[in-house]
Amino acid sequence: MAFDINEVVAQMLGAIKDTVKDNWNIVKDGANGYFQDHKSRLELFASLRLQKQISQKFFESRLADEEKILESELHSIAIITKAIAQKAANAAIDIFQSAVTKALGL
Amino acid sequence: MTRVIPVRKLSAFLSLVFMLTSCKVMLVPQYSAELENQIANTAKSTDKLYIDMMDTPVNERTYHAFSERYNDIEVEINSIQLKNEARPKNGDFLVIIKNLKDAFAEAKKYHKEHKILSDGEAIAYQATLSGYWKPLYIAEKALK
Repeated sequence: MAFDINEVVAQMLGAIKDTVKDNWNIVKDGANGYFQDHKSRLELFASLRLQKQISQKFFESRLADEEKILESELHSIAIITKAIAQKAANAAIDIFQSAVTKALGL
Repeated sequence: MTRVIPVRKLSAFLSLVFMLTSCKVMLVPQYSAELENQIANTAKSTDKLYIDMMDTPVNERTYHAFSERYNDIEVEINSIQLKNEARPKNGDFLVIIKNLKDAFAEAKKYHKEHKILSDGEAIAYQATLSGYWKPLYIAEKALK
């Protein structure tokens, strides 16, 4: 059985491209959702402060929380992108493995 | 004529085949349906704590009246943290969980020290804690 490395590499690149393309919306939607959430919370806190329903100190603590939430969101996006990279790499490896197995006649 | 393959060559060949067929990249922990459910349920309990609090007359909104529910949620967060500590490639998850745990502990302490929460404070904590839960839930779902 012939083993065409150029063909196998082309298939591996195709698998990586498809996996990233199919999952990219998850990252985009996640980041947009987080941005909208921050906006809504900041509007809520400002409104509660203006109506004197919360103290200045409490208001500032909630703003400090927003920084920590942003940190968590960035780690969440890191997990999503790593999961996509993992899926793409494993899809490429699967193609390579099956090509080698086929060429070896196993 | 039969060709004899030396044992050393054969074992090297089999090792190569084994390596090629078992190689997988791992950058994130393995998905856990159990953890996804636990995160969703505890986030729901946190939300319900503040919704119920706002349904309670302000003078009855004492820390003591809600302490058991605070403790139940805290126990669940600790359990989520422990399960994540046991998973490989857990660095990002541990930061998200630590931020959530610290924020919940701060909210609990505030209620305990101030005895009663106002409507505004309860609404603000509900929104903030929901913000801490969301990245954890989305990250776990992304592992599927």
